[in-house]
Amino acid sequence: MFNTVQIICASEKNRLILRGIFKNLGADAVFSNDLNDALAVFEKARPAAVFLADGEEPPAEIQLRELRRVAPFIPLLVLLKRRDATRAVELMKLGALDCAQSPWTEEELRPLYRKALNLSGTAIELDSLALRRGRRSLAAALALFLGFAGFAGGLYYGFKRYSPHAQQPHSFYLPYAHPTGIIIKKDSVLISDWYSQALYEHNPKTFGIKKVTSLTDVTPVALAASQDSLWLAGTNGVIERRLLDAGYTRASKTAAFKPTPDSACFDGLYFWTADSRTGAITKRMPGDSLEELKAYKYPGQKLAALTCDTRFLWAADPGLRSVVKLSLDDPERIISKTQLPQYSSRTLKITALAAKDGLLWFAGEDGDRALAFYTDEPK
Amino acid sequence: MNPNKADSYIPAVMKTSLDLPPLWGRLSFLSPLDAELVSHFELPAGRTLALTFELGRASFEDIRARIKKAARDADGYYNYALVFLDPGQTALLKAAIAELSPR
Repeated sequence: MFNTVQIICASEKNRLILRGIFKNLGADAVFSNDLNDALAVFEKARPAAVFLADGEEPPAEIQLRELRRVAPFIPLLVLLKRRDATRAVELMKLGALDCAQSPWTEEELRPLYRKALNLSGTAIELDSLALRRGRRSLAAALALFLGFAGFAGGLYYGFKRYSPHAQQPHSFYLPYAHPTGIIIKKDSVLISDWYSQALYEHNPKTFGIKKVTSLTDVTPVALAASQDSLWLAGTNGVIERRLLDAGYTRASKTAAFKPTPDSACFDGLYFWTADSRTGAITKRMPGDSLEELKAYKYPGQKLAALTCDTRFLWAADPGLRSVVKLSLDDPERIISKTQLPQYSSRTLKITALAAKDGLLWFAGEDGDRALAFYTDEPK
Repeated sequence: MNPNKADSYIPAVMKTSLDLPPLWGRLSFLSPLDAELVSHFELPAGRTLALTFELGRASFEDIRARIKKAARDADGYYNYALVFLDPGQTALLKAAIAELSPR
């Protein structure tokens, strides 16, 4: 059963309660702070139902209206902060499937969760009378179709089997040896190299170099990008914000962080840094000083590189030989571990990671050569 | 509860006693004499309820009904078969249903 539910709740305390409840219900819960946050990840999360906490901003009425506009058929359930039947009925008139009363417990939410999951999607009943009536012509059409499909399949198989065809490579050797950061732009892939102190801009299809920018005063160890900036971490622990102009002009820089971050990313709301030696993951405000909000300990075996998108943190873990998916709300919780076949090479050392449009991009060193490759984002 | 119509059923406030806060559910069937109500709140058969709901342009308040039968579905929701108790109220309901029915 498809069991992803989205929960819109700003209160950290309530999230903690709901996380436990939905975990016990067997749901894959995706939390969002507010409506904007929810809408930003809605398309990717594709929840079977949305639960929203009442009494937050914007009001539940507006959240229901906007969610119904985006997804008119998705079950929406409101978590009331007190038992108020009049309000529950008002919200049900505005499109809520049902409302749960406070206190929120597993027993209270179980029927709502089950009903919501059973309602998502559309049940179709076939008109069997009409089907029987057209059975003869259908059988003839089916036989014709099968004959044609068999012929077309044979033709396709023969074409595939005996014609040479070019394969789109998923892995590229790099003409430099020490990549440290990777970001994916609209029409290019940007990789930093600490040894040559440069930023290399590649064509994403052929990986030919389009442009090289020399970084004379920085030895780059990590790269991150936001909508309008490029973030460059140096060996001295300083992270510089640069403009996305032709020369990547420096706009600001932070104080030196200890331990020196060697991975960085921006999830659309917060900035994250990580240190592979200590396994420390730090959540930061995305201002010029990247002020620390909270530090976490990486929950896997060994952190090689970290990145994020608007939904998850992703880590390359050579100890587990896997890509590890972590929750943005609680990076000390592993959501999933997926074996990375490239780790079958014992000399592979992944140093940089980026997530974009359902793909995970990796850069690293394998023996005396550097390479970049990408895989589909694991489930 | 028919899955395809679940969120278009009529929301209703259910008062079970003067001392307790009201509950809520949806009317999945409505006739002048009886109704079916779906709710995730558990109530015993035989209990008397007062229902408040809207039907078309008409609002009904405290329509008295008794739970004739209660059955729990696989999701944990309760389906209640209700019988209306007040003939004066059923007459008003009949008029509202007739107004909404296609001629």
